[in-house]
Amino acid sequence: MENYRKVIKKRIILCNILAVVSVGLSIFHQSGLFNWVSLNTQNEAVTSFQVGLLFGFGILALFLVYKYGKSIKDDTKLKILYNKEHDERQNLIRQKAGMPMLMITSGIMIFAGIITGYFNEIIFYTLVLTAMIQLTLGAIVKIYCMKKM
Amino acid sequence: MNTKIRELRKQRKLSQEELALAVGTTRQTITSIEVGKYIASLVLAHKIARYFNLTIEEVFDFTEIEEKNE
Repeated sequence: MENYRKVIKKRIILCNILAVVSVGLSIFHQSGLFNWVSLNTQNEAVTSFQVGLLFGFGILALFLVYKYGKSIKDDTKLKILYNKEHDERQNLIRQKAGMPMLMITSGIMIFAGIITGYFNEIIFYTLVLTAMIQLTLGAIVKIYCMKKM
Repeated sequence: MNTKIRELRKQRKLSQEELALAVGTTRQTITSIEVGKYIASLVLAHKIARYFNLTIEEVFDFTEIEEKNE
């Protein structure tokens, strides 16, 4: 369990970095200093999506810091968290829902969508929507498997 | 698959949460095994049986599976 505690400590540090970077980039984005990077500054959808995504990552990182912070102080909570992450049924459900490949491919698609969004709006919408549909289907399969198993 | 986990838990006045914590799984998995929705792996079945100081056959009923295979 001591090794897992070290893993959680590392995750807390990473989440803190992610939260700071997300907030920093959001502020930087809102300040308009990003405009020199953007090749298509009129594209409101792309920039709004980026800000929303950054904001989402920031919120997620803060939530994880809170969750891990609570678990690391209490041995029982830490064991519950460990069991939850290493539970065979949960792992089977995740596998059936196509994780982690689904997450990786969706992440790559969203990242590619953001980059191509500077050049072509249609490709941006196609990639982001495909990733969203893919993630939604994964979530539906996961919920179905959770009910079934 | 039928199991005696619920009976054994009640005999020992043990909650699903406590059993899950002891055998290294989640409460939801214990619920699923108890209601027969999920068949535990050999490792988990061994852990559960050992926790109750019983054999796997004494905790899990394999007759249903044996009948299916015949």
